[in-house]
Amino acid sequence: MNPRLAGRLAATLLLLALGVGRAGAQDLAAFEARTTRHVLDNGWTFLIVERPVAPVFSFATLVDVGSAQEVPGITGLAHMFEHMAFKGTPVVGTSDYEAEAAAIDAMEAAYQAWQEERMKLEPDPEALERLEGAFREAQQEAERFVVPNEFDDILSGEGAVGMNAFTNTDQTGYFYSLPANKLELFAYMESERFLHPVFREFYKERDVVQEERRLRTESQPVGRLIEQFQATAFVAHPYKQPVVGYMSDLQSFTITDAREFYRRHYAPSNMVTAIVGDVKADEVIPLLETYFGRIPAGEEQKPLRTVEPPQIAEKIVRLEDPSQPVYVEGYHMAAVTDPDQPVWDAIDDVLSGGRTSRLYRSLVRDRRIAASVGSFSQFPGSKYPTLWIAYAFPTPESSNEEVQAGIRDEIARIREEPVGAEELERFKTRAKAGLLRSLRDNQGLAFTLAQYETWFGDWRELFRYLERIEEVTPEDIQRVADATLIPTNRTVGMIVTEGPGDASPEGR
Amino acid sequence: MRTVRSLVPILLASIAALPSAAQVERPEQLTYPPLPEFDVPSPTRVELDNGMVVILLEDHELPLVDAVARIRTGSRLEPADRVGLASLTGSVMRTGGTESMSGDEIDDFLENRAASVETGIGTDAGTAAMSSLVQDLPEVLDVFADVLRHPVFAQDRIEVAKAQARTAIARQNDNPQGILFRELGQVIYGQDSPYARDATYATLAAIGREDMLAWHERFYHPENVILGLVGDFDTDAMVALVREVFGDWQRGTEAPEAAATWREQPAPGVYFVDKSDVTQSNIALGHLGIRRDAPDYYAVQVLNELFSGGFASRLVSVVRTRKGLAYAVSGSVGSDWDHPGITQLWMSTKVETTGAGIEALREEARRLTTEPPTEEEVAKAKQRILSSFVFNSDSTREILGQQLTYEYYGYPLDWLDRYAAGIRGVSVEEVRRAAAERIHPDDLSIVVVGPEEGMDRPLSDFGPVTAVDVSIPPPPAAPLEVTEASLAAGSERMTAVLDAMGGAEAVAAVDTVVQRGVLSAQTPQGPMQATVESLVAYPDRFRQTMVLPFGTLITVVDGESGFRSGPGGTEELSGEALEDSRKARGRNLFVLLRRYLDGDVRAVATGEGDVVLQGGNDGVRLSPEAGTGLPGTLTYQGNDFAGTPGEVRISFSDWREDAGLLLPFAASATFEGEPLWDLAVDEMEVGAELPAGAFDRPAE
Repeated sequence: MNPRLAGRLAATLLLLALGVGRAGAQDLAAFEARTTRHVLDNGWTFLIVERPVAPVFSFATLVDVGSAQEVPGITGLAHMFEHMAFKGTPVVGTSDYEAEAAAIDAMEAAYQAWQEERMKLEPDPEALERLEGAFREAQQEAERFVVPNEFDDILSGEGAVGMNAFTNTDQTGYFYSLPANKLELFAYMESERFLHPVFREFYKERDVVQEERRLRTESQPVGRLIEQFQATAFVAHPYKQPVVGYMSDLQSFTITDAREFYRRHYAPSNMVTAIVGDVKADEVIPLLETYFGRIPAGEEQKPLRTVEPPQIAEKIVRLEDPSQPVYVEGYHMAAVTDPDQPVWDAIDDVLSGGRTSRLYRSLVRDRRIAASVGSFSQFPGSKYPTLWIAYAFPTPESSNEEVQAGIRDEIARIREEPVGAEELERFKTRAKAGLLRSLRDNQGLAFTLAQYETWFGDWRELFRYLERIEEVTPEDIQRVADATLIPTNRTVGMIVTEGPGDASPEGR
Repeated sequence: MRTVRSLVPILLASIAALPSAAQVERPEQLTYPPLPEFDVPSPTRVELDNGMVVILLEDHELPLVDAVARIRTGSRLEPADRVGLASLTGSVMRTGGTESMSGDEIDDFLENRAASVETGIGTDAGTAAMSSLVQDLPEVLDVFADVLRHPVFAQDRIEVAKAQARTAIARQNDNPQGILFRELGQVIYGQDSPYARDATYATLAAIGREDMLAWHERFYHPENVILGLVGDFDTDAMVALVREVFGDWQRGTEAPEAAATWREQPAPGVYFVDKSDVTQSNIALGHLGIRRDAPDYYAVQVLNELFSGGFASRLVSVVRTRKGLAYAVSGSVGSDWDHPGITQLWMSTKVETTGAGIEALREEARRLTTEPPTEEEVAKAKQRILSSFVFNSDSTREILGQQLTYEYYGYPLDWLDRYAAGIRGVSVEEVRRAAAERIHPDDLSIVVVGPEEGMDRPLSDFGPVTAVDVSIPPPPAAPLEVTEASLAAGSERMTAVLDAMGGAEAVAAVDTVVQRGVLSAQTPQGPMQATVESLVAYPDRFRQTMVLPFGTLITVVDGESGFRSGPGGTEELSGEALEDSRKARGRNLFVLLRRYLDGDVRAVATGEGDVVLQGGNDGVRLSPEAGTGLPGTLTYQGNDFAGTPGEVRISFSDWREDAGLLLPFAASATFEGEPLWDLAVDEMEVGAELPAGAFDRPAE
């Protein structure tokens, strides 16, 4: 640990957090001195933050691709690719890559033949059986060369922790932490996995992803509701599709589809990696050039054409389900890059931030009609125009109708009366402190910086955000709420208890 | 081959700056410099005169201070008829305010400063946490101490916490994995073990404010508290500040009791929970595990690592990667600090591969002895644990948390160092012995939560099957306590009900009510519809006319007598029939409310927020509707159409305003929970002049 550096960092952030003046250009400049942005010739953007408090570092790689880049037939493929990124490289995870690559190609040909028959209007049962048998045989042949989970094995053997990845509507993220002396291992593994993707064990892993869908979506009441809610709120934009994909697609997309998806979306210009911890930028950058510089530039990602049309009618989804009531309502709003985003954050803080919030005090504390209540903007995604949602879990003595009325009352107040000075001040204090607290976690900071860089093309927007929230006024809140939180812009979703699960005291 | 990397000694760095082969073929060829010297920050331990242990660790990176405390208490010490008491106490301690500040004042105070104070009580410990910007520290620490020392458990916040706890109970069967681990705990520890039991509506209803005050009085004393502080402070100054706010806290009298019990005997067999709304079976195999101070603890940790620690482990490689049976699969010999954990293997898989899934888990448990861990597996597992060891100390908050844990459970404070040494010293033989001694495939209880239909194999293939009933026991009817307090609360609640309807004055002005509508009833002869009209003249006259397919039925109660007339003629009411009709008259919503206002019935508050209206040898429970406060339901002992006695519940809805009052235009009744009738009112008149002779007997 370098106490001098840590002390300087602390002093800077102290000013920043306490709002001594505003988080001005001075403060940003001081943080900037510890942050290096480096773009490789192939377009891959790296952010390096020197935070030498313990001999470790974390990184987060964000690829600017998610389920919003999928079209019917390949839904779930962005997430599937995320799973494949753990399957290794031509070197890691195989006993003989040349033979394996040929076997994978043969397996893919066999799969395509089987699938072609399967998709016919009237498949020939005999041919089906024969083609499936041929595929299973080719699959076994390809598996002969697999050294299972070697990618993971090597990293955890060298001390990697928190290794994981995620896919959402907009982004695919990969992350873990390593001891500080294993920086080159990071550079090797993370460049290799995207330099030569292998589609090892693709169809086995597709089975695993189907289980993930059953686990998270089909077997969870809220999972079932949210899938229907999203599909209803959006009519045209791919935000209507579930990130995990539809079961029919999970049972039919192919290695060929995945290769094409990789070619289109995994160009270095579409990727940002942030590294935070006990690292020095001037030592990191040569490694990045050496390892990540090998990846060819690829093609620029094409922008999405479809824009969600304005909603003209209120929509309601009632899911009759043998589980307890859940209520959610959503309103279309702008993308995260919109200048009004801080206004939405203020609305959320006033409505549902903590025990002082209006929804908590009204629905949970005073009327006891909800066990918990919340609201947030940017659902299900952030990059494209999206939704603001409010939700509540009714108490057994209450109902969806009651919490709906309670939420509507508070939305009406937000629209009709200016928010008080104390509430707005509280929002600003908490937003600043929240940012401050986020700075003590390498992994969280890496993730946040990469996200701002991906959204805005400039990580410094994270700190400029503090200036933007200072400018939020009660009038802004009324203006934004009044334009957005209106019935024709609304989608309602609820679970209505039906069947054997009705175990509430009222139901007995 | 070496290349440029961070933290290499200067000499090597200069060599690497020369043009050189850019990279290696395989990752094993990479070489690494030693991890930089790192002095793990070491906390300071101070014991106050009153016995409170304080552990402090400075961290000046950011202007923040955090506190965490452990308190010697836990839900395992609750009485069996008050399960949920510890959890409620832990929550309301913070929300319910203190002697000097209300819960609301604390919320405002903290949130205006982006600070937090939170409390809770788990199975074997109580916790309290604080986070503050350094500028607000003294004031926030004051609140933190106040919450720990002087909570008042305000009744309204108890009601909020109870409503939340009831919500959790109502939803406890919605999530299949929630059911799986709850039932696994009950099968392994035994249903009544404090490590497995859960709150029910009945145990929640039995908990009162006095229980929470007593709980606090019993456990919350300085000698039971270990306080940790980390952040931007000077240790000596902070100790002085802690003395200021906690120094005069007096020691208590009673030491907490020792730990509770669990079942020692394994309970092999299959325990099946039928859940039809999921597409997977959730499977867990388990038996009792070990304590962390077991002599072979380190060998067990190495065993767990090679068995299920990450993708390359046995369980994940076989069940997920090779067989594609599951997304989620895991297993370990479980350990806890001061009681045995649960050794378990679990997964979720599509219904069609339930049998294959159970078989795969059981096979992996057996294979630990039939194909014991190899030298390579053990070496790799040890390496995985040790190479990531620095992450146990990479944040001051983590270091402090560990110190608190060791102190609380009485483990040596250098336990982490011992742990590293212990892992290093584990031999292959020890791991094999741990595998043989700690996992007993034949003792494993198998819990399955999923749909009954569609499994690849019958569950009876895996042992005798016990069907587990997870239906939620309904809330008990609380015994009614007539006390000064319950009467005062009852009248307060009735005022609220009357206010919600339009005020006592408006209700008191109601002398007559006429209602006309359609009644749909479930009779023993099947569903039936009738046009109904009812006339009420307060205080004692009532007529109901029902037009049925086979004729018109009229029932009249007038004062002490009554009659019934129909196609078959007119008969005087007497005996039980008269008594029932008189009671029915008295339960009419408006009659009931006027009787209350006139002091004819009294209102007794119940623990559930209802009132029971007692008088004239009848009792009717009125439940105010959450939110509106209107009289939502009336519940009483009545009859169904066949005359069977039982509980009748009438729910009112469709409230409309008339004559300054809110009147219900719809009502529906259940008998013992089953639908009885529904009434849709077309017309309702309040204060109308009633036709002359409305209560007269028809002419013969």
